[in-house]
Formats: sequence, C-alpha cells, structure tokens
Amino acid sequence: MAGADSPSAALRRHDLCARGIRLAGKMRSDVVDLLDAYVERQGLDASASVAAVEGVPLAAVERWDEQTGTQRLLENLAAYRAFRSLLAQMLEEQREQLGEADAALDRALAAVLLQVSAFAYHLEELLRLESRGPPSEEEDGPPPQPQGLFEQKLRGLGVLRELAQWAVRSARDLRQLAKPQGAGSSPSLAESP
Amino acid sequence: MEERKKLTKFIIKDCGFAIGPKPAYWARQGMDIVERDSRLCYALFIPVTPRILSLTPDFSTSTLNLKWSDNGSLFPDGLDAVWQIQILRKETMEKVTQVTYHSKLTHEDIILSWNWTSDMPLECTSHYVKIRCYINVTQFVGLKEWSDWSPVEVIPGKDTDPSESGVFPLDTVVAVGSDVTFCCVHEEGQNITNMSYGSKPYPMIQLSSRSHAIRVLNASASDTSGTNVVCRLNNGMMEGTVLFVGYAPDTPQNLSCETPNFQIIKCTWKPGRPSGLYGKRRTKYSLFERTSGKNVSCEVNEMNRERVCGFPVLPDQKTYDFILGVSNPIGQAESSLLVDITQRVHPKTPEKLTVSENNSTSIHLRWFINGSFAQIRLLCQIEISSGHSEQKLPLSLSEANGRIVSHEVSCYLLETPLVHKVVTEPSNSTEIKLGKNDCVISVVAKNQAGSSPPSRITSVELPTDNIITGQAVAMGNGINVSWDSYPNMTCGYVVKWCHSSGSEPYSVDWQKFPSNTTNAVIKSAPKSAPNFTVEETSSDSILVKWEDIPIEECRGFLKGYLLSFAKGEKDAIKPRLSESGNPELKVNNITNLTQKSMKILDLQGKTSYQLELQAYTAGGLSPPNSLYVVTKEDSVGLIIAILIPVAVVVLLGVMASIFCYRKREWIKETFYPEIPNPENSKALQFQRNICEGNKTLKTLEMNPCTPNSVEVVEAQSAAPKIEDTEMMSPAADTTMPEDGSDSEMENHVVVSYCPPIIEEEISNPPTDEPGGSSQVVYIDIQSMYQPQIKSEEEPEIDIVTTAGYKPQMQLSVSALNTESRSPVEEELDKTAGYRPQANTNAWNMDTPDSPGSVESNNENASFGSPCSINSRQFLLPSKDDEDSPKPINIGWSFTHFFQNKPND
Repeated sequence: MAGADSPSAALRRHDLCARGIRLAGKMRSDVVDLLDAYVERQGLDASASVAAVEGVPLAAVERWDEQTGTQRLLENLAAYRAFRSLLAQMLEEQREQLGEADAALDRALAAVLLQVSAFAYHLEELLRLESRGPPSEEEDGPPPQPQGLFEQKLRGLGVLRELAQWAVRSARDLRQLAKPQGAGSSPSLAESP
Repeated sequence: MEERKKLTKFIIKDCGFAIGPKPAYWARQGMDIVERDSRLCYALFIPVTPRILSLTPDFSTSTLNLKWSDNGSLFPDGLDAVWQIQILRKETMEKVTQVTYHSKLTHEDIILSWNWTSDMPLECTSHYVKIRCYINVTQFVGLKEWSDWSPVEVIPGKDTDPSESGVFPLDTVVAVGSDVTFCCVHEEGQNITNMSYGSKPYPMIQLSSRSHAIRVLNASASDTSGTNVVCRLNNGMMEGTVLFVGYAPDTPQNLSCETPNFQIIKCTWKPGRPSGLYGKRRTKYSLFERTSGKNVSCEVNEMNRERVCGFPVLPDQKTYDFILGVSNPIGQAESSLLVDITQRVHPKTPEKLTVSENNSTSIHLRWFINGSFAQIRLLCQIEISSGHSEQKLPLSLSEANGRIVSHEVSCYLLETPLVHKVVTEPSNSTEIKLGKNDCVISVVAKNQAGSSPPSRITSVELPTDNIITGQAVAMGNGINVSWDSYPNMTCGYVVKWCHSSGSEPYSVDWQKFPSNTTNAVIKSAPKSAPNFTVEETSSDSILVKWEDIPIEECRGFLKGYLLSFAKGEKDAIKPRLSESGNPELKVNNITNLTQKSMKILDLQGKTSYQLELQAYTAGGLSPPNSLYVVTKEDSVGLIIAILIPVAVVVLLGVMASIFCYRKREWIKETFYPEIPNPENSKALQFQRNICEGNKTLKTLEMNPCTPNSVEVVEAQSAAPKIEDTEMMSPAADTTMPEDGSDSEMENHVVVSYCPPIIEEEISNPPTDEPGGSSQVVYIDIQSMYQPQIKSEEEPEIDIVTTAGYKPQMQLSVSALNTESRSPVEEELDKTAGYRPQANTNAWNMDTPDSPGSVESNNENASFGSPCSINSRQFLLPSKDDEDSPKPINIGWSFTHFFQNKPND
C-alpha cells in the first residue's frame, strides 16, 4: 500500500479516520433527531416497517470483517453519494409540498445533507490517500421519484433510517481503518484489489 | 302485445318511428312508410337507440365525461329530446345513479356531452354507463316510448388490472367538511388488515375481491403535510395516500395600491382566513388590470400576514382597475380596486441630502428622490430647526497630540451635570436638548493618552449687536435697572449681571422678567456669613460673638444677622438648620449691625446645640456658618433631684414606723398570730434526746427552706453499701434496726435534707469517708428517682432507656471513677451543674441527686429529668412522680423516719 508507506501518510490517514469517526457520530445523532421530527411532521407511525427503498444502499453486509479497507471506503462512498442524491431530492420535495410552512424540518434536512456531502468528500480524501482515488460518480440520473406523496414520505423515512444505520457502520469502518497495520483482523489496505 | 313488439322492432329498424298523420311529409324527410294500414298509425314511436361516442374518466377529479350524438338530423327541428343516463358500479353492476338530460333537436347531428362526478374514486372499482332517449315527436299522435339502452361503456377500476395497487384518490385536496371515500386496491391473494384515516381506523366496505373502501365524513383541516390514509396489508406492507383538507381562499381584505415612485404600483391586502394549504397547494394571487388587460402573478410569502404585489406603472395610464384574483385547489375569490395612481403617491424618504453654503445668510440644499414625478406636483417640505447650537472647531493636528478618539460633551447647570455625551471621531458635532435650562457646555477631547483640559461655552446668548448702554441706580436694597419697552419683544426680558469685584472669573447671574416689565431691582445676597465663636457657656446660656464680613463679600447693604439654634449632635449628618424643619429651631434676628455678640438664654444643661449664623441683605441670606456647643451641667438641679426623693423616702419611713408602733397590737394579731412553742411538742422530745451530743444539729429552725433532719441509723455490720433498690423499696423501713437507736449512736449520720442546699450536707461520697463503714445513697425527694439494678448484659443502653433526659451527651463510665477525683474537681462539680457538650471527663456524676450505679460502684451517668443549670432542681417532673407508687413510699419512708424515730 503506497499510502501507508510513509509515516506522514499514516498519520494523515489516522487523522482523517479520527475526524471521520467524529463526523459520523455527529451525523448519527443529527439523523436520529431528524428522524423523530420527520415522523412527527409527516404524520407517520414511528414503528412502521418500510420495505427496502429503491436506490437506498443497505448498511448491513455479510462478512463485514472480511472486507478490505479499500472495499469499505468504496462501499461507504457509494452509499453516501446515493444518500446525497436522495436527500437532495427529499429536500426538493419537501419544499415543493410544504413551501415555507415547515422551516425547521427544512433546515434540519439541509444540515444533514451538508454533513452527508462532507462525509462523502472525507471518504474521497481517504481513498486518494490510498493512491487509489475515488471512482467517478456515475451519472445515473436522479433516483426514480415515487408516484404518491405517501410513498415519498415512506421513502424519506427509509432513507433516514438507513442513513442512521450507515453512520454507525461508517464509524466502525473508519475505526477499523484507523487501526495500525497488522493490528486489525482485516487485511491491510495494501492487499486491497 | 306480441304484434306491437314486432312492429316496434320493425319500425325502429327501418324508419325510426311510426307513420305519422302526414305520410307524404315524412316520406320527403327520408322515412320509409312501411304500411298504410291505419292500425299501425296508432302503434308506437320508439327512437333509435343512442350510441355513446366516448366515455372519458378524469381520475384526479373522479369525473366521467360522456359524449353521444343526438341524431338530430333524422328529426324535424325543434323537437324535445330527453336522455336517461344510468351509472353502474362494481362487477355486479349496481346502479349508482340515473340522471335525465334534456336537449332540443335542431335537425342536425349534435354531439352532446355530460359530466358526472363520482363520490368514489374511479380507480376503486369499474364504473359503467348506458344511455337511452325519448323524443317528443309532437306530430305523432300515437304512443311514444323510450329507446332501448345503449350498449354499456365501462371505465375499469384498478382492481381489474392485476398489476395495479394503491390507495385512491391519490393526494387530493378537499374543502373542510367534505365527505371523502378512499379505497385500497391490493394484489390478488393479499388481505387488508385495516384502513385508517390519520390515526383513526375506519370500517371497510368491500367493493371487490381486491378493493375495499372507507368513507370519511366531515373531514377536518389537515396538518401542513396532509392527512395520511393508510391501508395495512396482512404481509406487513402499507399502501397509502395523503389528503389535504383546507379552505377555499378568503376574499382579500383591505386591498390598497399606491406608488412610491411612478415606476411600480404596490398593492397590499390582508389574506383573511388561512387556507391551511401550503407548498404547491398554496393560495396563489394574481393582479389583473382590466383597462390594459395586463396580468401579473404575485409571489407572496405564505407566512407573512401582509401580502404585497407589484404592478408596473403603464405609460399614459392614470387610472388602474385592479382585480386581485385569489385561487387554490379548493376555490377562488377576488377583490377589485379602481385607483387614480396620481392620487396614491407615497414618496420614499429623500436620499443624499447635502447642504452647501451660499453665503452667511443662505444655504443650498440638494436631495434625491428616486422616481419620475413629472406628472404630478411634488411638494417638498424643509424643516429648519434653529436650536441652541454652537460649533466648536476641531483641534488642529498640532494641538491634538495624536489621533483624537472621541470628544466628551457635557452640559452643566451650576455644578450639576445635565447631559453627558461621547462623540466618537470622525463626527465633530452633536445635539443637546437644553429644554428650558441654559447651561455651561464643556467639550473635552480624548486621545489614547487621556483627556484635554475642557473648553467651555455657555448656552446663554449674549447678543453683541445693538447694545444700548443704560443707567442703573444703586439703591439701599439693590440696583434699580430700567429699560425701554421693546415693541417686538414677546417672550420677556432677561437681566444678567456679574460682580466686578474680586479676582475670580466673573460669574454671571441672570433673572427673567415678563415682557410687560420695564424695570427691575437687582439684589444680591452676601457671599459669606460672619465668622463667629462661642465666648462663654453655662448650663443654660451661650454667649456668641462674631466679626464683620469683609466689605467685598457683603454684595450689598447688610440688613442684619440671623442666629439660629437648635438641639443637635455634631456627629449626626444633618442638613442646615434653616432647611431641617426642626420644630425646636429658634431664630434670633439681629437688626442692630453694631451688635457683635449675643447671649442665648433658657437652654438646657449638658445638651449639644447647633448654632448657625447668617448675614442678610435685601438680596437674600448668605450661606450659614455653623457651630456645635455643649452646655454645662446644672449641679444645683442635680443635687435637688437627688435630695427630694431621699427626703420623701425618709419621711415615709418615719411615718410608717410611728404608725406601726402605735398599732403594734393590732398588727401582731393580724399578721403575726401566736405560734405554739415547738419545744412543747411531744415529738420534739425525741429530737432533743437524740441531738444532745451534737450541738451542730439544727432541727426545725425557722428557716426559709424549712430543712428536715434525716437521721440514718445503720449497723456497722450491715452490707458495706446499701443499694438504691433496697433504699427505695417499701421494705426499706423494715431493714432498719428498730431498736438500735441507743447502741449505735456513733454510727448515726444525721442529714439535714433541704433540696436547694442538700449538697452542703453531703460533701463526699460515702466511700471517701475515712472510717466510713456505712454508706448512704441519697435521693432527691423531688426527683423521686428510682434507680434500678441492672444486669451485666445491659450496659449503656439501659442507662439511656431508664435515665430519661440526658443533656446532649453520653457519659463514659470510666470517667466516673471517684477514686481518682481530685478535691478541686469535686469542688467544681458541686457548682458546675449542667454542662452541655463539655468534656465528659470533667463531669461530676457525684452530685447528690445522681442515683448510684450498681455494677460500676460509681454514680449513674444520667439524670432523671431536665435540670436547670445551677439549681439542680429538675425542671420537669418525672413520670414516676405521678405513676410509680415507689417514690411516694420513699418520701414516706423519710418522713416516717423523722417522725417515728423518737418513738423507737
């Protein structure tokens, strides 16, 4: 792994991981708050089960501990890029449906979108440090828009719930990455494909 | 009937109606005359079956649009046609409604259209439509009947499409109070668990195997995000829709339009009741001007109560006929206003006001008002306020000693600051509202290092032109000034003067006079009071002497002196005597200016007086000089004050003695009856016998405390210690040797019992007696305390429980060892009494009223009742006093002992 060769790169990675973990923690806390507000303002049932929403990446993964560092970063990046797009769409829908009637929810949603964008950028930085560079963003276009407003509400709920899960997983991923080479059970970044 | 039917069919098929009375006419119109059989002429007229051209659904509004042709070209002009339309629903084709539609035939084929709005979303289930007609052919005299029903047209519901599911209607908006039907269409094989509107479940109506409905009546206003209608399926999934319930827009109120600049017209209004709809369902406004036909849509903030919309000013148009249109998905409203815009101008505040000086008497003002006001006369007002203001020049660079940070401007009336302002650079002017006061204005420049000396000006205007020098005449009581009446004067006159004597800077005084006055007398009070001293004081008088005031401080002719005095301490902070309002204040007016001393009489001895001396002229009083004097003590009065009461007391004593002497017999009988001689008492014979060898015994002496003598007779061979229980038990009497009074005389310990002085009699514990073979434990009779024998297993706790009140401590038993006690300690113990929270080692438990302890051979460490600190009398009676019969027995044992002993 090229990035891990020099001590300064290792230090930089460690620093990026540490900051990423803090950012994920803050994001998790804000998303949980936003979830509460969202459920209340949209008149939803907090216990409602939502089917897997199309376009929303799942945080749960099999054989998590067997993943390489690069794999982790790439999955994270793909997820947060998807969240960025989904949240932007949610924000737009929210403004279209409610106008200026619910400024607090609008602000909270915008704040989380900003954090997601920042976290995606953070992951890109980490990938750059691995001499790998982030993959180019695929221009898939916006995710398919739900037909009905109720579906929109449910999808928003699904997006926020999954984002809360991802914030936890990302913190764990970064903690794994921050471990000194060889200390963790996961293969080192150098072994990544 | 069979025949008729046959005919009808035939006719309908071939010509459309039966033969009329004018066969030739009908034939010309293209109708075939089938038969001329007169029987048929009275048969039936049945129109041809209408055909539906189209049936179009609008799912968003649940509306069906039906189109068909009236086939009017077949009929003469002007016939009435009646159409029956039937709506059916569900697979079972239940009839929902049947309506009748009237039209007139125009001898042309007209396509007729009819709309029907369903109370149930069209998606919920299939809807069917069919139509038939009746044509009122007036010329036909026979029977006329309805045509056959047209073939049914169907709008299939979503439940017929296997791929469709969902809750309908999809995201609609209805008015508050509406009744709404929702249906849930699900996939085949699934079941609906429940359907809810908001959080409330509703009973379901089955429409088909895949579709169920709920009906919500009188819907109330929804939240900003709408009300969710949720359909829960048995597989755990949810389908749903959102219903927005709000109000149609209110008519805009208080619409008014004005222009600030002839470029744009601003119209404002109040929206009235909120619609409760937001975002893309919000109420939208548009401003339509009827004259020009121009329409402007208004972007307004939903959260703002006041709405504003701009409309451009059109060239060459003065009158504007505005219609403000308001609409939302539920309804619309409008409000109109006709306005001449030249009469509705509200210019903005002029900007960029600049003042340039033309000459000493005129200035040039420039300002800018954004807009094109050419078509109206714009009136500008200029307000010139000439306040009391003078400008101080800013310091030059050389004077500033660095950068000036700020100026401090203060305004003083005499010494009282009225205004204080800090003017920061670069501003070098400020405004001070003086009100009716003139004041001295001081300006101090400040830089980083500190403040400059103040620069002062007075706000009093002293005109420098047209000075007319007049004459003033000094009189006895002032200076008489007169002036000519000045015709333009309206407010009045101010006379100012200053004292020319002295080296100090002139201080200007002034006085205002009304406008009708033309003369005044300027008076002035002395500047200082004469210095004065106290020459002599006695118990009732003070002699005061003073000096003349220097002539330059008189400021006029002295009229006299005022000497004021009142009681007053020097230390107390008091205002001037003349201002204190002291009711005892006395003022002596000395008008003889040659008099330089005065004796104040009728004062009280040994009292502090405050004296004040002021001089006065016709102009007023000088400030006072003040002194404090204490008068001397009046010794004669004191002696008299002592002697008189003493003499009175002596006199009374003498008189009482004489009285008592003269009435001694009567007094003796009344207050001092003869008492039988106790020595004659038989009981005391015993006392005498017993006490023969002991001269110190004092029995039945007339003593305030009435001491009782206790004689304890005990055998040498008895147990070395008598325990409390034995002492207090009723059997104690029996243990006493009844006949040992003579033989054991030496072992008798006679104790005089007297509660307050009992310790006098018992100085030491019995163990301390050198040859003390007998031990006596004393019990305070008043306490009636009954010590108890305690077993070894009951140490301190029992002491506590049986002891009653303990003064805030537990005493250690080890501290009570009497063997190690020094005499000093014992002496202390006798007088110490109760010592709260003291060192327990210093405590003496050996007080006579302390009960003995069995197991420790020491005194018990507790008291039976709260004791007063010194008296050792129990403050509270012990319960045992009332309840236990034993102490009574003890008491009796003592008294019996006294009384029975002689008998022994």
